[in-house]
Amino acid sequence: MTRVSDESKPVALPAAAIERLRELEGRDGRDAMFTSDLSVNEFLLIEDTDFEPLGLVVGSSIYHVGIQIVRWTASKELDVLTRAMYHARELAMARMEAEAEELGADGIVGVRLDIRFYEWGKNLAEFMAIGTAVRHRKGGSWKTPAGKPFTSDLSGQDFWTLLQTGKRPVALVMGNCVYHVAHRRMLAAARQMYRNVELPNFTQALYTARELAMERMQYEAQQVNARGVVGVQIIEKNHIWGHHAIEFFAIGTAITPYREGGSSLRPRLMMQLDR
Amino acid sequence: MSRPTIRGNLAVQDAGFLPAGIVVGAATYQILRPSGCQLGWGATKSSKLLEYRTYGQGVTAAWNDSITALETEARDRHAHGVAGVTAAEEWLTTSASTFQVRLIGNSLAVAGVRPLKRPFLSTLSMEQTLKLLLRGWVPSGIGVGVAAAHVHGFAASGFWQGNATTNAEMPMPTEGMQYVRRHIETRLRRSPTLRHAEGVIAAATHLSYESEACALGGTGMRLIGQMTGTGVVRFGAPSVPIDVAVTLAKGDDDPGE
Repeated sequence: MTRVSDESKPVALPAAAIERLRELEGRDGRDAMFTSDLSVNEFLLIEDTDFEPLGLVVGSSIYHVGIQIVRWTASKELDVLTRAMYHARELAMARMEAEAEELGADGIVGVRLDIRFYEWGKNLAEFMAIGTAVRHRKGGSWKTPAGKPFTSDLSGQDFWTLLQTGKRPVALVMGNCVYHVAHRRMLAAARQMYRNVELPNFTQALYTARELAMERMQYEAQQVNARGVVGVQIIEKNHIWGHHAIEFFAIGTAITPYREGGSSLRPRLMMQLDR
Repeated sequence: MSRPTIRGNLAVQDAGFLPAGIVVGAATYQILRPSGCQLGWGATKSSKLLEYRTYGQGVTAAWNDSITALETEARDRHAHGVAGVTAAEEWLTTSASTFQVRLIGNSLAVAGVRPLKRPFLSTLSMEQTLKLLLRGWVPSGIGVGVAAAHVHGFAASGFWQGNATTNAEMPMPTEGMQYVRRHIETRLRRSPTLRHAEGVIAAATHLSYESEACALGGTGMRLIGQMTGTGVVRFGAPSVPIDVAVTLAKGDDDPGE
């Protein structure tokens, strides 16, 4: 099993991003000041874990998604589309990580990956990765085995809770699969009319596509020596390809223990008196 | 942006703040709206971005003026801060180029304490403002940044970039987005910086993309970005610890529901 895209190259930040990061760090002569989309609860909880926010980091890519033609009765992976959707996300993620590295961050929390297709360009999509770069006040080893800042799509609340249990995020891991689900043949459709019956080609196609996406995500987690993946979401979307081409996208935060002793959480029981 | 609630009012009153009344700030500007690049005005080389500078600066100025008006009204009421500020912005129907921003918030004062030179302003709700105060932070002001740019038709087209059927990144639209992102953040930071904020939290970013006319041929792309947030500054150590609780309330996962 290999990654669907192996086009990882060193990331050169655009001039606009470098200038923005300089302003965040106060290298433009003014005081350093972070920007963050963290809510008040997230901000206060992250601060309580001795991490300090450094600034919003963003990676984006506007990507032309290629075309792939497939027989309408065939269920198969659309590898051109799978590669495009993965590569564009990877570009956005790598740029976001490069911005965090430039800020000297230990990690990025609250990462969101958004995709939008627009009316102004057929097959053009915007991929955006956005999160808040953080640094631990006491230093320590928080980066990935490759020496990059950790990434996590956990909220500030989940990040705080995870750290209390003795685990830490390593990397945001993802896998995808764009799959063409075959149309039913006319005769088969006629035979199944008015009957309760499983549609095995549909079941099998969706099952296979989900498995491929999950397997690719797990492979990424293994690459960063993770102990597990939490907060996994499986997102199914047709985007602009009609009903029979679906992208299955699996994403989660790979975690690993960072200290002995397990959880330090001792929750108190509270009973609310309102209904 | 939040609406004031009775619970929120009670929360800040419990922390020693008294309500000092509703305050309003508004500003109306005439702003040249972006309408696509035209020959003789604004048209540049197809490989360059065109920034709608007048638009970005105009909308930002309207916001900043309404923030100043809100602050002035709060100061006139001897308030120490304004929390739960809500905003409304619209293009008025009286003229296609008339833009208005209105801000409404709840001013707060601490009895027996001299008024501040500049009361704090916060888009955060009363409850959120109280949480910040209890953990040693105070909101310092509202920041807003607006920017807009045009990507020429040639650069925005997969066909003209030689990628009609293949997977490829589109460099100019990607650069355009970075450019807008940078400018909205730079402009957002100006007001909190003047108030010595250590950071901006709860920043909300809105980016929109539309097709529009391009004098250089094809259909161009208009990018408009807006970012708002609340500056925060630390004033002391947290006065309450963070505690974890398991609440027993009726919820969605209650089998009895």
